[in-house]
Amino acid sequence: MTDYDLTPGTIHRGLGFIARWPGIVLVIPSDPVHDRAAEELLAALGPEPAPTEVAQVVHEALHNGQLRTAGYLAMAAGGPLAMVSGAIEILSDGVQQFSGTAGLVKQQVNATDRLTMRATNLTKATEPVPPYDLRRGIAPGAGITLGSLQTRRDRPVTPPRPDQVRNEPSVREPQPAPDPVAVPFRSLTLFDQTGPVTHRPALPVARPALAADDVPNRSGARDLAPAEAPGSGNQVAMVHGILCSRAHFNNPGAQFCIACGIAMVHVTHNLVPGPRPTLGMIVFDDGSTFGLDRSYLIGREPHTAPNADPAPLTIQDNETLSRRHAEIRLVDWSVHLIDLESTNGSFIWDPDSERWNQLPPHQPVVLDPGATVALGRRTFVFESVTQQ
Amino acid sequence: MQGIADYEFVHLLGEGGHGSFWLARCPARLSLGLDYVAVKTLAHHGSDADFERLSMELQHYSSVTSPRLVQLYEVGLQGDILYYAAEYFPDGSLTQPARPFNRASVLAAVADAALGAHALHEAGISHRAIKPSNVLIDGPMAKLGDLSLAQVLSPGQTLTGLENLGSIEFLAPELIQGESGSRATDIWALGATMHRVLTGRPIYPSVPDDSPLEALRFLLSQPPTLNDSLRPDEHQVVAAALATNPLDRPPTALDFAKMVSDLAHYYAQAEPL
Repeated sequence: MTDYDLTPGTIHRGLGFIARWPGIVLVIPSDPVHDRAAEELLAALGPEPAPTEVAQVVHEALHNGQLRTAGYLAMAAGGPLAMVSGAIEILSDGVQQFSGTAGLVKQQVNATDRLTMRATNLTKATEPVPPYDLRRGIAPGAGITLGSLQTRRDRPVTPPRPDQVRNEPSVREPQPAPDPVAVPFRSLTLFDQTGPVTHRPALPVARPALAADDVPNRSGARDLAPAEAPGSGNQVAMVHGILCSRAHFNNPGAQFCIACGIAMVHVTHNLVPGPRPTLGMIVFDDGSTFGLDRSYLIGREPHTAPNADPAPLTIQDNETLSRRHAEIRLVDWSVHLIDLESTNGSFIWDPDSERWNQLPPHQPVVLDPGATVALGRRTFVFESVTQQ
Repeated sequence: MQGIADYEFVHLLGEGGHGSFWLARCPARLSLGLDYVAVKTLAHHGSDADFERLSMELQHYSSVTSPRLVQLYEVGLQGDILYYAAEYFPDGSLTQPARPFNRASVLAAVADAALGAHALHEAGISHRAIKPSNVLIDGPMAKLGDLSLAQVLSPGQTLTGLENLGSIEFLAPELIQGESGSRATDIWALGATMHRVLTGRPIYPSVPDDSPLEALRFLLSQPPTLNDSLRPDEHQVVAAALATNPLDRPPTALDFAKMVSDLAHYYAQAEPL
């Protein structure tokens, strides 16, 4: 049996930390927000902690929410013991064994050539990079492969057919799932519907915008977008904008048409009413993305109805976000951020002074495209195509 | 997990950004006469209000009668875990079909999925999650399953997180930019699905994965790259569905289904099994 404590440890590039000490390997893929927690945890462990101490500290950090994603491989007599929680997976000889996506999993693993523990969001760029061989200490990266990449690398690895895949019984912590029947549940059958079923109109079939010659009164923009916000009963706000020469509706300040890219310099800047298009999107540090076709109330528990205005935007965060932290409010063509007297504050990054500027509570601030915003320890970026 | 409600889990079928799929024993309570069902448990922490909304959405989905849509049996809430039970397909999905598929049957499956999508569109639903793993093999036919519930549980959300970067090619650019799901966004996803199952390659060969923002910026600045192994007539169909401007795509999923099934028939005649 390979002693994975002695083999090369090839790093997978990516954001996060890898730590390797005698008897244990730790991977903490970072989302930028939790960097500090990972750094603090690694600093607290000191230069060469005992495997049991590492395991204990990691379990505590996962339990109290300090970390969301972490995994370790601890060397044990019967083979390495793997623990994964969050978006992190274990591979034996390149074949996925299990991941922590659905909750913490802890079980023994083995492999012929190599064991991999890595963030599950890896793609091409973060295959193992041979020159980086971590034997002891801490390095940046989002995964590690223990064992040889070279010797039997060419041998094809056949993944098991789906009907052959069986999950090994796994130990789940902190508590095994409750007895399924003991916990009450409510349910509704869907195959023998007797109640009234709501009727919805068919989705509209997209039609090309009117050609320039066919535009009789230059107000055709009203027909070009759906009149209702998706998934909500709300009317879309009407705003004033200008039409490009092909009758696409644009921000009055636009230099190029957002729909066809044509230059707007020659159009007459007559303002016409039209439904407001999506003003861009906000992209959170973990990749979750929300379209700015509506206003949002952001917080841990915003508690508004989903089709309310503003719509709830729930961010699951461990106490650095207030229940109702901030509001994103669409006003005509601009996007406003309003801090709702949050405990830890709302901040906008100022690239010139390289500082976070805190928003005074309840005072709307206009977000410029590209703005980076911090709410508690979470961050997002406002991206926009309609406002350059 | 060992089970949910009175469903006993046999093993995990797959995991996605929104939850996990389990093979489960069908409870006798439902009187369905089935041994197994597929149960999806959602990652979203559910409340009673979420259950009401989910039920309404899935009831509406279930009212659409099409042989090309996966049948749902039940929706439920236990603790804060939302789940629903659906038909189980032992033959797997287009990602990993349990039996070999020739080009004609792959195309026929994509056409079936498009017909399922069209039935949803006519009932006012956009699927928003069409990809090879959601095209399920049912004997000689395929069915479209597992529509995205992100809009129901978290309105306005277009991407749930980094885990989704692997399937980002199935999201139309306008969907990434925050527009709502439409016929055209599902047609894009059908085109990307067809490309993926025929070539085995993604339409964006190298998405930066260091940060979600960089990945999104890259996708929005790049047209897809179609793989050379597509045959010319396939290339034409895929390229039409993957047009950057939604207005340049086939107007309905039914139009797309016809284009694909014409190809499938042609191959079926040219290359008999």
